[in-house]
Amino acid sequence: MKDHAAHRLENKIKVFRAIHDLTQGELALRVGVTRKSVNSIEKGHFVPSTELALRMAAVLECTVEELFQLPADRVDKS
Amino acid sequence: MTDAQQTPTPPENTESNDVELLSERNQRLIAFGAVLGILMLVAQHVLIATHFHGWVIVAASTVSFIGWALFLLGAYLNRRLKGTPEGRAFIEHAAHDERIIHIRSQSFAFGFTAMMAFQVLLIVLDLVFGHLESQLMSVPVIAPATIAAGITGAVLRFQFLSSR
Repeated sequence: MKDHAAHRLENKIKVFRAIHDLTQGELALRVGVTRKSVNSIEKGHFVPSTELALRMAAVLECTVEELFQLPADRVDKS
Repeated sequence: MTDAQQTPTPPENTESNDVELLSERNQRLIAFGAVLGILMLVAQHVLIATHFHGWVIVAASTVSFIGWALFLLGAYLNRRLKGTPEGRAFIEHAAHDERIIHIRSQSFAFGFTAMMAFQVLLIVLDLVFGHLESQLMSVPVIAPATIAAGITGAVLRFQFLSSR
């Protein structure tokens, strides 16, 4: 069985959406995906492509690193 | 501080719009109609192969027709939805959505895996019961059953992944 948790990213989309007063639907429209995809990414069920992550970061006026982070237990500290 | 920054909680928009809900309903009709139709078709073949007659076959055929009717209804409603400007925009938008493309490819792969697993299961069953139940191992039974396994696997996987 595939470990889906291993592919998850933490994100602050909800926080940045709040700052910009954007709904999931509005953000979806601006980055060119469906509202459900934004919801799925926000919940951590789907990891977006680099291009989509960059588009989201551009709309939310932040860096990709600010928007998405690896979970603490998956950061290689060596 | 801007007005937006003063918002106490982030906008929790988990509400779907009408077009999205209609599209999902049509998708469910198509998916579950196809699954019901093909599973009952397999049931018909199994019943015929095992020499069942009468109302059981009529019941399986009726449920199978209901399944195909749901499938056609879903396809028709989807076509009608695509006829509206909002519907067309949503469906075309969704066609390029990377998550949906990803889910579709995963579902196809799962469907083919299900078909392969079913074939392996049939070989095992044939080794165990081959001589006893040879009528069940005939092509008219295993061919639709294998296709049904693939379609059911793909549809259920798609529904599971797209509902998250």
